[in-house]
Amino acid sequence: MTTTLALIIFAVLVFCVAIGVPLLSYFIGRKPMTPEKSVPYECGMDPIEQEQGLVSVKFYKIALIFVIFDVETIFIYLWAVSAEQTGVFGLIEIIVFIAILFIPLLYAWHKGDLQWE
Amino acid sequence: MNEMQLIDINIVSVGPEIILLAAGILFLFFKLFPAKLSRYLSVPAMIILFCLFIFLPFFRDNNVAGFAGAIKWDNTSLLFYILLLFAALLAIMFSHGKLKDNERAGEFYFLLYVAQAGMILMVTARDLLIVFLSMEILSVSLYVLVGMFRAGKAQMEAMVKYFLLGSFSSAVFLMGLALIYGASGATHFDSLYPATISSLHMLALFYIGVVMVLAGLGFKIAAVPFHMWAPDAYEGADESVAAFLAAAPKIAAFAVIYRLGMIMNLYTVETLTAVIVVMSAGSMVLGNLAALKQTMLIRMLAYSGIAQVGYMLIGILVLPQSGAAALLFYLFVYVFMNMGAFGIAVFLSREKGGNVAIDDLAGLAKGRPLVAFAMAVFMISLAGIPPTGGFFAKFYIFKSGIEAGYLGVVIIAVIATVVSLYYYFRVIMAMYMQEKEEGARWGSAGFDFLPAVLFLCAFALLACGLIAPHLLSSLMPGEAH
Repeated sequence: MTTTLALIIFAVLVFCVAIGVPLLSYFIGRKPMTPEKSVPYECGMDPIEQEQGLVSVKFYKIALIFVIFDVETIFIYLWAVSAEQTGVFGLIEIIVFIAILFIPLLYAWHKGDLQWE
Repeated sequence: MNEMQLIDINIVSVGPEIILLAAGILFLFFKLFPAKLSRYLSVPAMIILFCLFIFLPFFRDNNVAGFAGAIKWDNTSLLFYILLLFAALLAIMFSHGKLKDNERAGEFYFLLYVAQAGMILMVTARDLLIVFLSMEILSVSLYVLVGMFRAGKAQMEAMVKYFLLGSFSSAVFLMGLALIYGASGATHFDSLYPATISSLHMLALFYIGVVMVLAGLGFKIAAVPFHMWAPDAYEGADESVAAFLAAAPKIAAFAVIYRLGMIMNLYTVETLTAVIVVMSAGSMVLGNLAALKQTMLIRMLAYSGIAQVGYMLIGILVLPQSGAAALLFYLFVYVFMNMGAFGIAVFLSREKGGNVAIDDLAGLAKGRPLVAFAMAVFMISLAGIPPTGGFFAKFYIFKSGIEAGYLGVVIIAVIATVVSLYYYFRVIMAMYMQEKEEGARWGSAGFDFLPAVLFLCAFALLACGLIAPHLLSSLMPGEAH
């Protein structure tokens, strides 16, 4: 019973804090509109251009190709940690894995996605 | 530390998948070869699928297992495997005309093969994690296939809608998987009996997990209330892709629902029975009512497919009794009648160019009598009228439903069937009794590949009707789990 009561008190407190603090600042705080408030990040560097700037679609392809290497890194790292335990079998497995991951890279290459122009 | 156990991995158990992926990669790089060859690409694609039938004698009565029991072939998975091969073969035949001079033909076959590999993995999986993995393999390639031949905004919309809803359903499935794991500490089907869960709190968690898993699978079979993507995706995709989409993923997802029922014996629990009943009745009512007012052929077939799923779910309800064989028989007939009807849509849209309305079918019986006959057989079979396989499929499903005491659902199903007669017969009416307005549009063009295939489908349906009792008894799953 006491644990249930404690849980209820805790839940009520959490609710009060979660709702209360923003409400408090809403009612008590003053809201002057300074130029700093209208920039996307209040701290850090000032933005040098509009945030809706155009990004070349080529970056998207590069990012997709990067995913191949990303996945490769994750799994090779795991294999490297347990390389001694898995032995020759693990080595063969990781070679098969790298070969499979090499195919999409070949395909992207074949399609000419590695060329910038 | 001891050496890893390597004996558990059995390459043979994923043999079909490896062949499909290797062949698919060859297709992917096909553009290296002269462009002229690409019009004959469908022939090797079909031959490779035919070759996969040679796995049947290896796996039959053998219970080949691999990956520590996460993949297991029994005779039921073999049946699902055959159905999937049939569906893929039909899809390749339908797409032949579209891909004749398309430079992306190789990519199309690659994606189709990857989807096929995912589905074969799905019907043999005995572990929920493997099911999820294979479902993603299947889904990702289908997302691309739906938008592959996109020509306009409607196609783009179909693809985005299918992608968003599909990935959402995967997330729901994964959440359910997490809950099941949290409740039982296992993901393998064999260790997931509700009875193994000791604490009552955990049991509730387990059931919520199963319902979420069912919801994720419900998206794949397009059962109400997870059906919204189906009509738009089918309409936006190329017709041959739509035919594949309307049959193959449903078979694979039904295989998983079937496993959950047979191995875990889930659908004897009242909560889960109620879920299936709601999905089934909802699909039948909503699918049939929505199909009534469709004017486009593909949309009508999409809603009719939703209704058909409703009938099949009755079979899921009564799995332990005679439902299993009835469900398998229904799926067997469904592949031919539904893909056949989509094949007619493929054929007509090639002739006409663009989406086909039901009124466009007017005068088909005069121009192309054989095609019209095949379409009439598909429609009669979908409606469930005696000489065809569709009648026996419905009959066995309803019979097993009544025997198991689900009278209410069966009554809804029978009323829904009567309602469905209207829109199925409207197609036949248009073909045989309406005259077309302008000049001869369906000129007979001698022998054509596609109508011949469709005619074979119609013949198979009629044959199914004749040998139905024999077929049903041979479909009875007799193996022990």
